[in-house]
Amino acid sequence: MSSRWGPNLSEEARYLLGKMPEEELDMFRDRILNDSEIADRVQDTENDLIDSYVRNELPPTLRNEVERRILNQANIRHRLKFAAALNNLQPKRSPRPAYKVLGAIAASIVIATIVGFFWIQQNRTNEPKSPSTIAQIILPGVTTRSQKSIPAFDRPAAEIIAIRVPWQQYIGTDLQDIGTDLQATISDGAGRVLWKGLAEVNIPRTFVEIRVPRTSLVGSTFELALLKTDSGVALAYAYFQFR
Amino acid sequence: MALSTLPDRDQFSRFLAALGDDPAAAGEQYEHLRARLIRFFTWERCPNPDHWADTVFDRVASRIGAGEEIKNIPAFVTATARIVLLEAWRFYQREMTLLEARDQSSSHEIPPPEETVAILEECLKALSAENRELILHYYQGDAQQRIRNRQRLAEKMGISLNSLRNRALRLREKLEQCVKERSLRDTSGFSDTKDRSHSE
Repeated sequence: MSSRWGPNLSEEARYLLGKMPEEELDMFRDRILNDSEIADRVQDTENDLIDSYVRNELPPTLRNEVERRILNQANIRHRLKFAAALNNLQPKRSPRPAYKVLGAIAASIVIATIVGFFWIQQNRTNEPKSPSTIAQIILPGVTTRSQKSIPAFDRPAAEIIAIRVPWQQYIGTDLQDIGTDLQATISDGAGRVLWKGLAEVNIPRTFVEIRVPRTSLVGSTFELALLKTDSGVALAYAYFQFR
Repeated sequence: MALSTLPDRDQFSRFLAALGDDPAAAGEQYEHLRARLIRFFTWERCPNPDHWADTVFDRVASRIGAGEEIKNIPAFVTATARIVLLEAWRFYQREMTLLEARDQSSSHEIPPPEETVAILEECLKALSAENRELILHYYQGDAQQRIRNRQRLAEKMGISLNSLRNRALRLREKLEQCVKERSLRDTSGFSDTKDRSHSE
């Protein structure tokens, strides 16, 4: 077991794993934001933690903390796959102790399930378009306004486009006061509102769906805003584009 | 997600101009700051970190666009980021509690699919021989061995450990991006997408 991940963790590792006292944490946040070298050290430590995780080198407690604090990040699926591939290119090490092998098998099953889930999600968005009057678009996890991260779909030919947004990733599961309706607006890249209407929340709250006439979606890049019906407060934004 | 006032193009141009006289250098500075903010919001466990990074810039650009004179833009960005972080926490407070509960039971590991290794090898070929050697050596060995390897590597190259780290991180980012783009291009049909866990 690597002594680097023993009881005396570096400040970068303690920050990443949520083990820093609040008063130290506050100053450390400022250092990260103001000093690129500190930010790089944190990034470096995070990479090493992920690599050590993939190589099954972490003590069980730390392994759990990495799962809880780091492996729920936005881009973790690709980073894990990358770390595993990078490890695969490195010279092979001596055989692992039996508990590590068993742990790896158990963990493999879980990650395969997770990767499979995302694969299904991703492929669902690419289902062939129905020739009927309604086409469905399922937005992935969380989308952002930055151009590179906006998911692109083939422009559906159907008259009505049903757009589904996963509930938990965008809104959370415990906002019981929302009811089953939300307001929704769709704007184009220049901020012009193209469509306003109701969004329907399914029971038991796994997605929000809006149905928009195809003719309303003029342009190629769109911002979908979901708002509370009573107050008009925005709860979430989603972004998508048509090729 | 909290509503923010979006700056118009002119305000954003003024913000970029405030970062530097040379548009290319200002653009680079902007990308650098943005990358750091995204990392920060990611480490602070904010879902959708890109959005919050953009929110910071929207706020700063709006202030500059409104005629406010800000002498130290990076420091102002930092201060704004701390405020936006509090807003993000408030927004995600309930969701993050759920994430904490859900994350207790998660576990991951998988042998890399052959195609990912093949893609990585392709991406490595695009690097110079020196950079290829650097990144493979930098990430060689277990965590403890890496510390020693890196010290030796820095000495061999005649650069500081910080410079070596900087180069290795940039190379790794480049490689991760290359692998990600090629994987997505091959499998998803998306032209370019953000990862999708709770976020991706």
